[in-house]
Amino acid sequence: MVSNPPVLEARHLSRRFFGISVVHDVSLLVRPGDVVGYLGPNGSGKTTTLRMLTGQLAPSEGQVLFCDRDIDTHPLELRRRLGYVPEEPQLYPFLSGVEFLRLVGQLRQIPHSLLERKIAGLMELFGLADASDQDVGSYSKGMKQKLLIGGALLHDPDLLIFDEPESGLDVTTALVLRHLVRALAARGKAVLYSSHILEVVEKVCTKVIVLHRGRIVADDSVAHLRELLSRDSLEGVFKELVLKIDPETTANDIADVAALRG
Amino acid sequence: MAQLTRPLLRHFMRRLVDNDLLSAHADRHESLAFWAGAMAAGSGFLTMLLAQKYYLAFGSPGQTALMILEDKFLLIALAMIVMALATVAQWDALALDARDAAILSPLPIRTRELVAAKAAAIGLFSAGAAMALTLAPSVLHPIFATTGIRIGLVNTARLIGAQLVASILAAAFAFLAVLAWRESLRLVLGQRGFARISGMVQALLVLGLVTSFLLIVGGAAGSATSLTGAGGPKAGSRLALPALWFLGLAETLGGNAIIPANAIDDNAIRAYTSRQPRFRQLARTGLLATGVAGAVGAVAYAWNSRRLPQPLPRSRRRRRLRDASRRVANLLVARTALQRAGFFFTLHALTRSAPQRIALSVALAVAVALTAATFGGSGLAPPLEEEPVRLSVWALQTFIMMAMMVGVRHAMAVPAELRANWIFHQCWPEDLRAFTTGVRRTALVVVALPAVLGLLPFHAYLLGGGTALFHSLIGVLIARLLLTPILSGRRMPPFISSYVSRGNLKLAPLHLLGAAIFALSLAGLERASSASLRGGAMFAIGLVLVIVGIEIVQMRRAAPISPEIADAPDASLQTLGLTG
Repeated sequence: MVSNPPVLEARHLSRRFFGISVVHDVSLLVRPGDVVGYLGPNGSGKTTTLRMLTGQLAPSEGQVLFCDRDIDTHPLELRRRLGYVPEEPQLYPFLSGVEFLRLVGQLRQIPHSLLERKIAGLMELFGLADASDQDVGSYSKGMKQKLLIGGALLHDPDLLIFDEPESGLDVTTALVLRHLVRALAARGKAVLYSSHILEVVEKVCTKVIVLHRGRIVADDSVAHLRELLSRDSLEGVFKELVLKIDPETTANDIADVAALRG
Repeated sequence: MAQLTRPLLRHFMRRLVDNDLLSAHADRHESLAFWAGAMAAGSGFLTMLLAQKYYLAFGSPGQTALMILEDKFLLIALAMIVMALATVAQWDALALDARDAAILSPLPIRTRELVAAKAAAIGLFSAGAAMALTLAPSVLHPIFATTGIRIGLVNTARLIGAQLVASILAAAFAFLAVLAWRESLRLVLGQRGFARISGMVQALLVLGLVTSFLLIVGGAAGSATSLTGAGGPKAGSRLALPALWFLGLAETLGGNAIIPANAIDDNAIRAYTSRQPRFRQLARTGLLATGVAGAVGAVAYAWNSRRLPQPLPRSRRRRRLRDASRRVANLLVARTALQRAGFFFTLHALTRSAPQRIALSVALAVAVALTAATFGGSGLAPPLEEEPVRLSVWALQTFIMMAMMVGVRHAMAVPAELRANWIFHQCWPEDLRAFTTGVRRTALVVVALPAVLGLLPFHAYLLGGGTALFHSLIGVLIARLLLTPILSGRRMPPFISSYVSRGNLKLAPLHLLGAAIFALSLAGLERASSASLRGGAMFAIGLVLVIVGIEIVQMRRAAPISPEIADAPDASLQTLGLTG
């Protein structure tokens, strides 16, 4: 079977800050129709990798290819076809939700009437229609997150990079998001999905990459990883690969510290 | 309560000190030191400058008392205006807002504790600013001013104390007046109504204060001796009234320390002592005004803070108006998607984002002061037959355009929201020109055109209707000419730079001189060319050709603008000016 050529490829990416290595020798491939989960504990280098993959941060070593072209020399190609949802929903607080989407759509040169139709549809479907004229500064984190997801989808991108997109979302929207990711993949979009929530990654992703202290410790399908490490779930795999502590003991220790008195 | 208030106080103080106006990347302590230092050094420098005359000409005690009056008036007026400006700069942070409510209301803290901590934070902030502004002049000025008349240690200390008390009360009055004005508006209009006009009121206050500052420094508000003389200030000098109240207080508390009991009675002493009843009356008014401002501010603040503010949706009526304006703009000034992105983003940033609004308000204040200085007094008298209209009238529009465009340039250099810059990075288009065209059109439509139209009635009165219209057209062309280097010479797209360069202040006098030569030369040429229709047309065409020429040169020279999210340069590099 001939597999599709990758949309996104990272080759031996490394990033150091003031001599300290944060990401070390990370290589990955994302093909059309793939949903690649990117897992790792806090501070493992997930967001730094994603910032390099989106061209916001130059790697210390290695290169990122988008459709076989280096994004360092062809940054516009990536920007035109990438939809990115960052970890922190940082938006212009003086714009309303609609104005933010309009700005994004206009910068992406979407024709006026099509843009207005898309904005109206997305605001309605994300449950933001009533708040469409409210300043983004007054939005809750979940509302901002929905707006960011809408903004990332406006131009129907070929590659989507989600950095913990479910953060702050209500249960319904989180469920919608899972189905949305699957639907996008079914339409041939390549998706890189970084998350803390193992259950979501297990249900949504076709393949998973586990990062620990800036290095890839696993890169395979969820089923194959489970089989390889003889575990029932992705949580078990994650525990085996990354966790050096017993979560139950740590949880009890935390409860003990919280209960300290006098 | 005390345990809880301290971290809250620290939190609110941090919000007052963290100010993107200086630099979004600046260290908090550095910002604080910079502003406090700038206030103290500025007022100290002014005091030294004012003290020069006492070394050059020793006067009698009476003459010195009258001379000191002018300086005290200036120092008190400036302390009040700078204090009011500092308070207006913190306009949105003066009371608890919806963001505070969202962050702090889930914590087990009573609303009144939050309000008390917020009030204490703004009180501390204003007290610190008042001390930084008034301490150096209050201590140094009496010492320098009385060097020649030897009034003794006790009397010098009395003068210092009186000046310090009056200046601090003047600054307190300025702070309380702004606070009372803000809170009364909020009380009367409610949260929604206040939110609707808050930005505009802030901009108008900046405009009024900077204009007053320029007029008082320029002497247009009148001298202290004339204002406190028989009959009191005239109607046109009401601007100076609040400063006079506190001048009266300073003189009531310590003025006669300069004139010894055994001094020979001369004209100067009589002129000074004849003003003492007026000083006492002014002092009483000043104290009363401070009390009223404090009481109104405190009551309105307490009433408005009964409940924590909530986020507000915009009204439907405003939405319809905005949609209609957007359609008109789409049709007339921004026809492509990228032009619209540039046009509307610039429009929203200039009108809704506080740092940008303040930059434009300061520029507008300079423009108003220039207009007042040009048309004030007999400036509006039409010229006699055969006599040409003054060159300053022709040059005024160019000066105003330059002031406004400097404001626009600064507004574009300040990040609208540093952390949101990634949006531009991700969506940045290949063709930059269309976006820049949109930005330029906003500056022309929202900044230059209203300024030209505001001046049109004056010009029509002095130059005649046809010439005034021609002059307005030239004004728009000048704005267009000034915008070319502003937009072409940028390394980063407007509003998304990652730090604000402090620039090189040493070159400011040269820039001012260049601007004056440019404006006056252009005014001379325009006045000469407006004598005939052909001459006027040639002048306008010449100006258009210059704009096109500069545009072509700039386009060939300019490096591509990129929205790369660069980290701010190291502070030491910025200080050394090595960052370009």
